[in-house]
Amino acid sequence: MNHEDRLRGRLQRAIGYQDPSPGFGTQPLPNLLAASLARRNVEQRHSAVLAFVAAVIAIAIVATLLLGARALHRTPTVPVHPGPSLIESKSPPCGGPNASGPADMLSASSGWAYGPYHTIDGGDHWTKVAPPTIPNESAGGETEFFLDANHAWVAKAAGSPKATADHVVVFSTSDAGTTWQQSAPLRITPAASTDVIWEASGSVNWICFIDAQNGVLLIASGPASIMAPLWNVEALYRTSDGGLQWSRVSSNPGASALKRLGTPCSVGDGMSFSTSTTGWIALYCLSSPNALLVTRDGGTTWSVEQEPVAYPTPPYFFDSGHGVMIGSDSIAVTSDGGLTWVSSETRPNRTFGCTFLDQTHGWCIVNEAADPQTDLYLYATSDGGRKWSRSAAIPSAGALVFLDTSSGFLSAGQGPGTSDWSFYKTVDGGLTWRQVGTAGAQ
Amino acid sequence: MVLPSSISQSSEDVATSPDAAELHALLPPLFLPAYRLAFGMLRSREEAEDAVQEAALSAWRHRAKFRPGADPRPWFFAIVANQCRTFRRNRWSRLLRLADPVSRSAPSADLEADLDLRRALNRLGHDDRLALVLRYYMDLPFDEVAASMGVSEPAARSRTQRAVRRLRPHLDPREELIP
Repeated sequence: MNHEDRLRGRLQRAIGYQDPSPGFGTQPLPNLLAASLARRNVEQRHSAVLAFVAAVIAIAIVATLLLGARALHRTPTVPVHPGPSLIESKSPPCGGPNASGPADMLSASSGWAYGPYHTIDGGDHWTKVAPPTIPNESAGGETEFFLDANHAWVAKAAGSPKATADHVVVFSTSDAGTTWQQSAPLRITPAASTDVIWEASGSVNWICFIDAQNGVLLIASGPASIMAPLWNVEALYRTSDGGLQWSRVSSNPGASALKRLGTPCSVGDGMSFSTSTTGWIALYCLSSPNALLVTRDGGTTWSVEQEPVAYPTPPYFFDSGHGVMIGSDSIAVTSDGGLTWVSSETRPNRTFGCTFLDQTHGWCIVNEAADPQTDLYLYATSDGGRKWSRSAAIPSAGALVFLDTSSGFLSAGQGPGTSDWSFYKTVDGGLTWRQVGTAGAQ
Repeated sequence: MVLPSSISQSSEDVATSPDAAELHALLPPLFLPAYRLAFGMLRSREEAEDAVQEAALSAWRHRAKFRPGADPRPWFFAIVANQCRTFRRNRWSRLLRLADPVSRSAPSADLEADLDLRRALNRLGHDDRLALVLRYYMDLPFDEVAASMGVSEPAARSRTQRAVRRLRPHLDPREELIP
């Protein structure tokens, strides 16, 4: 029995099954529609009563709170939403929802896409600028990071006759991929000789840079199967010379903190750093809630924090203080560099990714699913996620990047060199989208 | 054939609408597999039946968007999945939910592990759970998973992989990260 069969059996047993009511599924369509309409009518009557009661209670609560707050002369202790945020970088410096997406536009003209490919004309043309291959390169074992129009890094896992993957080489460029420099190999000892380093998953950030010199690299390994048991977080490396020399600052980061937590954990959706010293690694743990590892000394020591949202992607920051953490059902914001999080905001009924320009302006792609191919809409918030409104239809599900409240890009697929690649641009805040890049890749 | 009054009074009358007639033939065979999908998402017979009924109504109202000749399964599954999402977000629906009938019939040998995995599934977001249910509970190939989720096949694989990764600590408790 292979891994997928075992997973299938486990899930089917865990979910279970109960037959529907007698006759369900055999009635003709009109009967089913009639039952649905009848139920909806009853619910609408109930909803009207409940809404009235809820409104009365809400008014009473609000009035009580207002009177209480005045009486105590108290000001709110938690800054729910700060004033205008300090936008120092149009792209989150290290991590973020599109750090590993199909494409990451860093200005109206220049950007990168997985491959890596590079564009200087807003995505009309893409040029493949990949570094050279290395011996025994592992399939899928590659992670990329794009800092600005010129600086990018590609880390590749490779093996030897004895192991599928046992070392990592980092390539760096400071001239948009025209030339690449290669680091010395970083030796890894996976638990099994068939283990791989990094999965072929575009949603995880394994490498990121705060600036052109200072970066971090997280190495995780485990079995190649998607049903594999826990993955090991092997080591965290840092560089201060742009990626030529790397030093190991932590082996098995967070192990002692997790041991105290007393639950097995597996590497989650990667890592992010808000400054050169403060960073996070998202883990999925057997106990609930999951753990979020945080370091405030550049990665040497890690402690466990309880996540403010379920299944978060690692937080990403607009400056050293203001950041957003996107979870599976909600978002959280911070104004103090991640010391405290306010997680009261909810996302719209999301099917696809969300992105934030700053702490107030965000967008999500929503599949309203009357037709999965056509009913994709952009939802936007301009108040930090308190309210979301449907903006416009969107042509494809993919990764969103907004440079300001007007200009944005949407990329879908596996990169410019693949058949399912598509790339769109908006200049009106997402109301209309124009496909670009039809000239293809070189 | 007797239609509900509000439907039979519709301007798009079933007797004269070719797409409606097509739906009459295509949808009913999908009710049972759609129920299984809804049950996998909601784990409640009542809610699963309600979700399929609501999805049928939604499909009827959006029937103009159905492309004649296309496979109705992913189209209808996507609508069912959307209904499930609405149901899961509806607090009243959850509060009114009765005793869990499935937990009583779960095998006792691995009951604890199953309950743990079930809790983990409940904590997953809608998209992760949908990917897992379509792929491993419905046993669909990735091209159908992709069509039902409205994404490309590589994206469906990637989403499923992400969801499995999130479940990993619950899949094999004997394997531990901590040495």
